[in-house]
Amino acid sequence: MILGLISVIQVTGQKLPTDAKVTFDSQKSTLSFKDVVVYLEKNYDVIISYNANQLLSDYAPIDVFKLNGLTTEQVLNHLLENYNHRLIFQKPNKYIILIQGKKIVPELIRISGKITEQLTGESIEGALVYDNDRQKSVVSNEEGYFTLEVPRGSVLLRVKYIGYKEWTSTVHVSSQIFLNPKLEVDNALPLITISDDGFHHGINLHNSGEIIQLYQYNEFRSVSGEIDPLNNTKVVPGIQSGGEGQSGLFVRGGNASENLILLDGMKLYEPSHIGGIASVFINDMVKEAVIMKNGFPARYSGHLSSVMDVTLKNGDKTNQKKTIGFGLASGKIHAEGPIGSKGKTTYNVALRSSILKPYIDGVLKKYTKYDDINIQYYDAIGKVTHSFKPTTQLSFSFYSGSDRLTLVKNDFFLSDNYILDAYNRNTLGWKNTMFSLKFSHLLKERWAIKGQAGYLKYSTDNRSSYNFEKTVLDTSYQNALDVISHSSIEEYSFKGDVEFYLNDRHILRGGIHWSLPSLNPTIKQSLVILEGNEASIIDPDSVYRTSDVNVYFEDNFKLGQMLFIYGGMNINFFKTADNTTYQFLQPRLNLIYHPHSKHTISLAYSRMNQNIHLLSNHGIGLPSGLWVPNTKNVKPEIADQWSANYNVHLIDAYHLSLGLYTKSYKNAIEFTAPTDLFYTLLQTVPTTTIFNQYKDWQKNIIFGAAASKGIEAILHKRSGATQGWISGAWTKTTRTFPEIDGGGSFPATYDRTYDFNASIIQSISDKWTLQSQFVYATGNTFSLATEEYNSILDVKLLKSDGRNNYRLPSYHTLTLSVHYKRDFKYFKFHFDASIYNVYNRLNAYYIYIYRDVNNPDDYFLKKVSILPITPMLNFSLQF
Amino acid sequence: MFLISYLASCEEDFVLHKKEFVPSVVVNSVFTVNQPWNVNLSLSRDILEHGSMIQYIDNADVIVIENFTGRRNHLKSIGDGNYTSEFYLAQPDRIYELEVHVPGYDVIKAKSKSPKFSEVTISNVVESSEDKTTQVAFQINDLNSNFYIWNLVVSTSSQPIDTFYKGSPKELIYSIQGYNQLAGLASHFTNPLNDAEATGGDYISKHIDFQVEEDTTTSHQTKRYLRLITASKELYDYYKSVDKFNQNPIGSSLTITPEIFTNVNGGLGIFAGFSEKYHEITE
Repeated sequence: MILGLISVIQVTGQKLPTDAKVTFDSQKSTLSFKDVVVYLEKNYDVIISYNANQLLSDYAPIDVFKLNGLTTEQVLNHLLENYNHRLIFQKPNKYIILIQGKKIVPELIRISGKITEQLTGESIEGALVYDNDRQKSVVSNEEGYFTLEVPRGSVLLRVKYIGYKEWTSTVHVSSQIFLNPKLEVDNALPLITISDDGFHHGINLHNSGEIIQLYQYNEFRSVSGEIDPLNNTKVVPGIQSGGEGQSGLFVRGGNASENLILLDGMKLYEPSHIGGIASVFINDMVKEAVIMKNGFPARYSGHLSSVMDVTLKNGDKTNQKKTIGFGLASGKIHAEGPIGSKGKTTYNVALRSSILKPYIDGVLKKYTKYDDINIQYYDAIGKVTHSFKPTTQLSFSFYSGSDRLTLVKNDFFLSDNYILDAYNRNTLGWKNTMFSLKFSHLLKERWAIKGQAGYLKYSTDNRSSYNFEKTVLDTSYQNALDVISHSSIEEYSFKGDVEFYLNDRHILRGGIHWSLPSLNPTIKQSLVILEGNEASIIDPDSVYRTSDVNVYFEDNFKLGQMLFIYGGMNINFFKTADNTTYQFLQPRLNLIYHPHSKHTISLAYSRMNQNIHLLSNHGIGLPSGLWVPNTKNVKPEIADQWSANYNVHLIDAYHLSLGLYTKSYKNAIEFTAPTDLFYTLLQTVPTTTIFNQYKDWQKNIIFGAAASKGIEAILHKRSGATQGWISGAWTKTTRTFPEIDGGGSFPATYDRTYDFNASIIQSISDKWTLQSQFVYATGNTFSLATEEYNSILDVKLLKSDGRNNYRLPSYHTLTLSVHYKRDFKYFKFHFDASIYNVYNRLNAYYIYIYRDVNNPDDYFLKKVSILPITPMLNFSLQF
Repeated sequence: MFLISYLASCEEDFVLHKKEFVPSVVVNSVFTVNQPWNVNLSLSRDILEHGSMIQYIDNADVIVIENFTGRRNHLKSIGDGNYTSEFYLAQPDRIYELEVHVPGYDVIKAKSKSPKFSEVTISNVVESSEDKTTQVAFQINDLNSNFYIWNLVVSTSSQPIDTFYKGSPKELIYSIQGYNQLAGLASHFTNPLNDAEATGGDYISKHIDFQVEEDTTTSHQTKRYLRLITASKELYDYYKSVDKFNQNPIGSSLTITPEIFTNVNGGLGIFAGFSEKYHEITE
């Protein structure tokens, strides 16, 4: 509405007023509006007409010197910037100011909410909440919380998340409100898909941009034909695609102990069952799983190479769901649903157990050299969640699992003058128990508070017991040897985290994590077979009691519309059992440049240190190592990593990601006297029992440096009837120790020059899907000493021409699988059939050297493979 | 099927592609004060080269040089790769250099010292009839930084000096390793120490367990000794590395064969000095 022309002042002059540059030479630095107008009219030959009642009444003094150099028109526009106005120029020198009223600055009100899935009530992390009018957006945090400033009045909000229909609502905002957008699963979309309209770019301020969702695009099948978070990591370039009998994660040159694996915020020290048969995660239980290779948020600490964070579902809030599944290796049962009618309390539990005994006793024994075999593993996972109100939640999580392999062998040899009666029993396995209580609360819309207390106990036990009775002529000799390797970690932990939403472009986060790990790494041996299990034999006084405190601060913000900055610092204090305290600063930085909806470039730096180390056998895919803490002599391992990534959405749902990294390690640890308990276990050729007297692990470790660098690429097709990926990496990882090879660098055992995997997933119909998956990897390195020479002793010595001087043959395998799913009226049926290693390549698990029985000076090499062509079946019923 | 394949494991012969093997010259010599020089020379072999044997070198020129005087002592070949001399025997606290000329190879050199004897005071002896062990506490009185290796020696009628040690330097370390094994086994869970690197002015008190075997067949009185070897650094490092080697199986891709220490430049093996003394253990 036009309020009117108020007054006109006429001035005449010789210069055109629009060209004149204004200079204020007044004695005063500030003038009133009226004084400025008078000054312009007097000195620049203009006439300015305006409504004095409107402009003179509430106009604040004007700092005139900053107006120097502007034209008269620019000066007037500047003076009127807080008014809705029109400035009309009439020749020869008249300005008319039309005032339509003072500009209204909209009042902003902070709203908050929690995004959940409509059917189950599960919170959704990473959903985008979008203010359509103001083009502002925020992303929900781990508990589904979001907060956003919007103008008072009607606001059109949109909420989007991959795989769900868009939620749209016009919300009338007159005061602070709490919303609960419920997203509906979009069944019309294929399971693996991504919105490619630039609306969702996968970057959010709660977490670093290098976080990789493990369920959105990946369906990597393990040897048992299953998909789970751990298998899905193998699609990610820079994470090794697997190997013969290999378990655990090997990320960017790191070994299997360098990964922080979290289940609902609690550490897991062993994520796999024997030889990688299955991971400990039961897929039905998992809500979300992510992995990070660099750009770690400062809240994470303790392991050098990666962070894998697995979150359990709270459980369906409205319906009771049950799933029963069986495969050739294991059976499982899963249940979730509400407790009570209000839906405030939910549960989510699952149990999986190996079902191998019938196969072993009925079939397996006939084909193996062992007199008794037993393989047992189980996983029990559960979570109970209570929501006091939408902003306050308490959850209790637990995990219990174990792994046990037992092999028993009796040897009896009889000749005219020689009798040998030997009994050999080997066991190995681990046990893990974890409890956690977690509280989260959204306080006054801008503060998210979380607290967690937990307990875990992990132990791995390996034991080889030998009984020999040898009779030569008439003389009998009896010997026994019991060798036990035990490693346990018992840990209490407490966490407090605070997240503060400074504004829509800025989130601060901080917290303190305190844990009390007690470790007991022991190797024991006895001339008699000891009674009791391994844990009862171990001396409890040999426990190392330590304390680990991490204080962190994160500052995540958007700079403009295209640059995201994630900075943070973690300060670590580790107190050893011998009262040495290590203090470390761990800076983190991740810059993400997002110039276009289809392009993202990121640069990240992280320093991580590790206070608990795994002294392990080399290359063996069995839990046979010792977990040991820092001590006065054993310093924390440190890794510094730089990386860069470029991501682009190509045409037709093709997505390309390219990456580079370089990583350097300090205080890298090498175990110089590994306990090779399983050498005899795995060998088919008789060997001498190894007797290792170096039981003090601290005397058998050396320290050095390591370095790794690599190039990574993945091309993904994420929608359509045909989907899949090609993922590959080139890496080089070396280690350097003064005591090895004269201090020269040598390739790490897990160094892989090339690692590549590809998969094609073809939907035949809405029920049938076919998948092929191919993996290729350069063989791991190993050391083999073949140069024999005399010594001053009665024994001959062996020398290798360098550490890790050979490589195993390349590993490659093809897996074909077919999947069928159908929804019946009362239940859903799911069936998978797969064939691992279709062309039956005998990949090398390990290579060993042995003497010719008839000619002891001649040695030969054997290659051992454990996974030839292997068919698998799995099915499940959900009702 | 899965389990059958998993546990029945497939094995097949494996051919390793490796570069051409060139044998190394191997020098083996330990020396002690006032004992004849003995040096053994041989060539290493590739154990994957079937039919190959370790060859002794009898056509080399072997010289022991005393660093202080520069005196060169040419050793005499006596066959099977052995070279010896009874002249210019090793003196305490002297540095000696070995020079070996083998046709077709560069000159091979090694250097070591003959350490002085170190004195020992036995301070306490505790016998345990329950587990048949004896515990000996002793002090090494030495003002210099040295390397020590010790073991217990039992003298019986059938084995008048030592159950394991036959008095020959050749078996020096081997006998100690045999002792280590038995001491470790007898004590079941303890970790007996039998070597140390001590700094000058300090003293050491260590407890050792060992099993006493009663000799009831003769009237010969069983005597027990603490044998203390004062080793050159070369011998000590060699001893430690060989000890580790003996506890690891010969190669597989799952294990690593420990590196053996050598001070022989241009070859393999050891040239190292030591001294030793016996101290009778009385209750």
